[in-house]
Order: sequence, then C-alpha cells, then structure tokens
Amino acid sequence: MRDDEFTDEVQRLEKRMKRMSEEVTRRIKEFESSSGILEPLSEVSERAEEVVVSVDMPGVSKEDVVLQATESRIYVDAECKKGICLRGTRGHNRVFKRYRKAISLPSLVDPDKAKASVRHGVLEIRLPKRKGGVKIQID
Amino acid sequence: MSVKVEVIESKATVSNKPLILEGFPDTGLVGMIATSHLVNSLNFEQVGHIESTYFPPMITVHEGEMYEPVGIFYRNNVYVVTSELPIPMSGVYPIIRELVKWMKSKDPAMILSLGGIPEPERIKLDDPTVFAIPNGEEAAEVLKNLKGPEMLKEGFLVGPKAMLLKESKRIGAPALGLFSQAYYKYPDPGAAAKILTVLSVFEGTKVDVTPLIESAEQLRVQYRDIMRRTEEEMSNMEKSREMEVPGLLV
Repeated sequence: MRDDEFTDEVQRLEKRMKRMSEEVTRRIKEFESSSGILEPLSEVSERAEEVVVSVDMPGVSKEDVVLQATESRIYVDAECKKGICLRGTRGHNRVFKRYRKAISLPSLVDPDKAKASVRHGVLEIRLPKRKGGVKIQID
Repeated sequence: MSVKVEVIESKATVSNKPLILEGFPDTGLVGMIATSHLVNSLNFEQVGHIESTYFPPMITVHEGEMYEPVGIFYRNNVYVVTSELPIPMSGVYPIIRELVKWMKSKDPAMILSLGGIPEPERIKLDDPTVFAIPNGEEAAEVLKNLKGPEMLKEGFLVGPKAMLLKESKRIGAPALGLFSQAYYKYPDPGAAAKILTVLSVFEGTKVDVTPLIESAEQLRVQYRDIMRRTEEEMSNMEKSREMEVPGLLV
C-alpha cells in the first residue's frame, strides 16, 4: 500500500468512527428525551485480580441503587429522589429522576463476590475476576 | 479548505501586566468549570474569541444572546480564555501557538493554566491536592506565595496545557500550571472549587465557591455531554499517560 493510500484509509476510518460516535450520542439524547431516564457516565478499569466499574450518578445514595451482575455484564438502575433539572435545548427545562445503564465487562468475573459502595453519588463496584484455566508446565 | 487559527478581539481592553487564565476542557473539566464559574459570578465581559477551522462551525446561544464557544473574557485586569469545546488533537499545536502569541502580546504578569490531574482514588478524597508546574523562575516565585499547591515533582502532562507551558516558556512568557486531583472522566466541580480557592490570593480572581459546591450535582449532570466529547479527544492524545511514571530521567 502506498503512503497516500494508507493516509486515505486512515482518514476514511477516522470519519467512520466519528460518524458512529455522533450516532451513539444522538441515540443517547433521543433515549433520554423520550424516556426521562439519564444514561450516566461510567468507567471500567481492568486490574490484575479484579474489574473496577464506577458510575457517576449525582444525587443518588446507596438505598436508591438496584445493581445486578452476570459474569460479563452489570446493570445499574437508580432513582434520584430529589430529581435533577436540566436546561433544555429549546428553553424547556426537564427534571430527571432515574439513571439506567448496562455495562459490558472486559473479563469474566465472579458476580457473587462483587462489592459495591456509593460515595458522593459515585457508585463503585469491584468484581473479582473468575479464576479458571489449566496450569501449563514450563520445560 | 485552508486551515486557520485566529485570536479575534472584538472589544478593546486596557490592561497593565494582567493575569491571563486558561480553562480549556480536559480531565474532569476542572479548568472549564473553574473559569466558567469565575466569568459568570464576577460578570466578566466577552471581549474576543478564537476562530479556527479546527473547531466545528458553531455558536452558543444563552438567554437569547449569541456567544462564541471559545471565548476571551475580561474584567479588572484579568483575562479568561474558556471554552465549550475541547481542542482536537490535530489543532493543539497551531491553536496553542497562536493563543500563547496573543497572551505574550498582553505582557502578562502571569499566565495561569487551570486543569485536572487524574486521580484513580478520587472517590476517597474530600480535599483534593492541587499540583503546580511553573514554566520558569518567575512562575516559581509566584507559586511560593500561593497557599496549598504542591510542586509536581515527577510525571507527565499531556495535551493543550502541556503545550501551553512549553510554548510560553519558549517565547519568554511566565506561566504556571495549576492542576487539581480530579476524576478522569467525570465533571468535577469539587476539584474546580479547590483551584479557585488557590486563586483567591489574586484580587481579580477572588470568588465565592459556595454556589459552585451547592450546584455540584446539577453541574455534573449538565456537563456530561461536554465530558463525553472531551474524553474522546483526551483518548486521541494518550491522556492516560498522566497516570504513568516517566522513565527517561532517572
């Protein structure tokens, strides 16, 4: 592949990723607008022994959160009792009272051993990785 | 289409050795939230903006009035450069070069670059630490008079703020980076309030942070969209390197 062909290909890929990102953003906004449910920001980090997930849900305390986990996904549903009023794009303010999100995990985990806490509206879930595999003898 | 970066001053200002604050969005949107609170609380006036083909063609409308998304504000011998838009990776060098050239033309007493530094254990911190990076002796002297910030001894700084410190040093303008420990991907008004507390020693940047703390939950939700777009640009710049340790200078 020539240099200019490679550059064109990279630019095509960048444009495609940008379009996909815009599409995701548009769908999130449409979902939030039609359902009254906010999609919270979240972060997943993989460590040696565990996967750590955090979800930013301002206004939520631990009693408000329903959390479910499988080996590969977690589901978060939380009520924000006081409600969060957002400025609308056309001058229509809207109050949101619920967060909801499904998050895929980068490794299989043991959901029975997961631990979770909420501090200042940030939910943190620590999920130990599932142990498995066979030991390989080194010659 | 030819690429363009231009700092446009729409209103004349008279300043004498001003402070110039920069608050482009990055980690935790700390600089953006801090400068936005300052501008709104102290009624700064928009006196200019940055025009660039690196930014999407857009305007901001607030209470029926039109604003520039990358604005320059002025009040009481203090300029504030703040933005709704993160600087895209491809635009960091040309935009910061042009901006720093403009800053130097104002003969600043100090340029203050405000931002966040990612802290994985931020959730456990009630009182985040502010780290400082001076670009020379003049900025190091100013740092001595500030209460709270610790000199960043080791680490990486990535993105527009790194470029701003480097470029201002190159052309001989004093600059000090102030970075509060913050959530990497979540808007962090608490970290922004900490930065503003540090700045309260300067007459023109003294501001009550109570309203900022009280509206923190609201702001964290309101700024989610800007955070999502900023995070995309931070990934492009390998911003997570800020959590790594340098290896060359041992």
